[in-house]
Amino acid sequence: MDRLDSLLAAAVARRRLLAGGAFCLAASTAAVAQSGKFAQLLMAGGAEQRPLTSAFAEKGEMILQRNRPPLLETPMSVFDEGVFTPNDRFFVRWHWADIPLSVDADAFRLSITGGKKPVALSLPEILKLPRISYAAVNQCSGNSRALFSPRVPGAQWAHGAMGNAMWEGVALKTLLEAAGVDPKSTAVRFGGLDKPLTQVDAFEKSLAVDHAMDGEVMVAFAMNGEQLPLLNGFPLRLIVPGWYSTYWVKSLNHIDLIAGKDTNYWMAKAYQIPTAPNADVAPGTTEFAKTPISVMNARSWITSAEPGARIPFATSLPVRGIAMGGDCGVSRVQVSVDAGKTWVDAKLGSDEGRYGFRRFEVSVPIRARGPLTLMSRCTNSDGAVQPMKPNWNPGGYMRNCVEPCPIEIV
Amino acid sequence: MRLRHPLFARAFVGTALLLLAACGSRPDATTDAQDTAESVEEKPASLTRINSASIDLPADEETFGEGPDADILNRTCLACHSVSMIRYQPPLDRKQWTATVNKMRDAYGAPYSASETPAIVDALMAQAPARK
Repeated sequence: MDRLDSLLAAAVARRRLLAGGAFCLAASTAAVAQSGKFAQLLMAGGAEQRPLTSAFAEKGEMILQRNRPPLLETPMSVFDEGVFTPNDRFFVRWHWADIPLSVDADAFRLSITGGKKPVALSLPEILKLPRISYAAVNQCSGNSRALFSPRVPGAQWAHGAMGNAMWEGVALKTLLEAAGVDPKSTAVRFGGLDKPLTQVDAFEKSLAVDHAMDGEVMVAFAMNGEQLPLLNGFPLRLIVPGWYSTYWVKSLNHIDLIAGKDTNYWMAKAYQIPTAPNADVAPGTTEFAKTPISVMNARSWITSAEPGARIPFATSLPVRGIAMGGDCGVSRVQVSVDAGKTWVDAKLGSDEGRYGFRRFEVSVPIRARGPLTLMSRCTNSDGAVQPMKPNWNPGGYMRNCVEPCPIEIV
Repeated sequence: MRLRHPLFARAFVGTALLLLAACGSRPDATTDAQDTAESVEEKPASLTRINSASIDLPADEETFGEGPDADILNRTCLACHSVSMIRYQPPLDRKQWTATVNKMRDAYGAPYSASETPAIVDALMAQAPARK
């Protein structure tokens, strides 16, 4: 409990300072975190307000869901600007308050243990290895949790706990081969520089050996052509394309080949979903067969209008948005202006690879002023179609239903 | 260091790629070339060097204030996370807050004993979004 005690002491000292007359200094710092601007987010039960902040280093304006450890959500308008999400607007999510705020690139090592020989690689050594690169969506398992009805506890994300980047790095397979994979190994466990404050399991995740060796799973050192922001996992991040972000271990500094089941809390207890199709159980259900969350599902969002937008009447309305297939590509996106009664096919934007976002665009005819509900519906390249009915589970995971976007033509 | 401009937000020419390779420690060096570039290469430049990085986080001074309920929440919750984690929860009933308080202690090692759970839950029912 040493770390926790020292953090508690620091927190108490800060508050004493605040009470003892250093108010101006502290208040001005706090004022930076709260810009005075707010985002209106559509959640189950109605719109809720969250502060917008530009106080985080490396980041532009973000929705402040939690200061410490940071939970920063990307405003939906960012997704209207392009198929890739800029690094300075990319969402941030950490579990533990002790996160890496300073990393010495010369001293950093990535260790690989449990193989035929232990390996510790420096960043320059990793940069010399053969590289791979692809676009992939990084989406929190609980993205859109605030839309669950009935509501469930946890980070109350609207839809912005996701982003699409061009990742560049070394195939995990290349690194594991350098360490030598023992045939007895069944899983590969990943951990980073973030640490729990207490004596509990560190945030570590694992993948089956076959998955880890598929040649696609990547140890990335670049995101959209630049080194990663610290808040997004500098200097190395695991990229597991098609899978939820919980596996994309940030500030990755140790990899361990293990034999047998990973009993770590974060694999065995946390991030569990119902085994039922689409992780869907009757609202309120607490007992069900569970399995660790894994592949993402097909989703789409309208980005050209925010829910509640008042749009001047014109005979046609351009509708734009983004879609993702999950662990495969996007084959079709349809748009509805009548809450799903009729649909028109949207034109798909450039294909940046099956794991990335795909933009869509279509002009729809508008006949009269008044309220209407826009919707988009993605069909992925495996033929899976977004359902109209929302799924429900107590973790608030894997939402992928068609999202209504109510607007008014004025 | 604040790094902006995802390099393929707009297309840029091969010379920009060369420029970046020549001064990998200054990612902003591409900005000018990017702005004046006409076309073509959409692939981002390969990273050639990784620089040390360091940031500070904004202050997190907010508390539940003063009084018996606030005191117990300030002591048991705020060592690990901000007030907003609690304030932004949907209205939770007593059973859900109890499950959350137990999870924080059992799974995350939050600094309180099981015997304190009812008092913490009472404080949450009074100070946090709650369905009474």
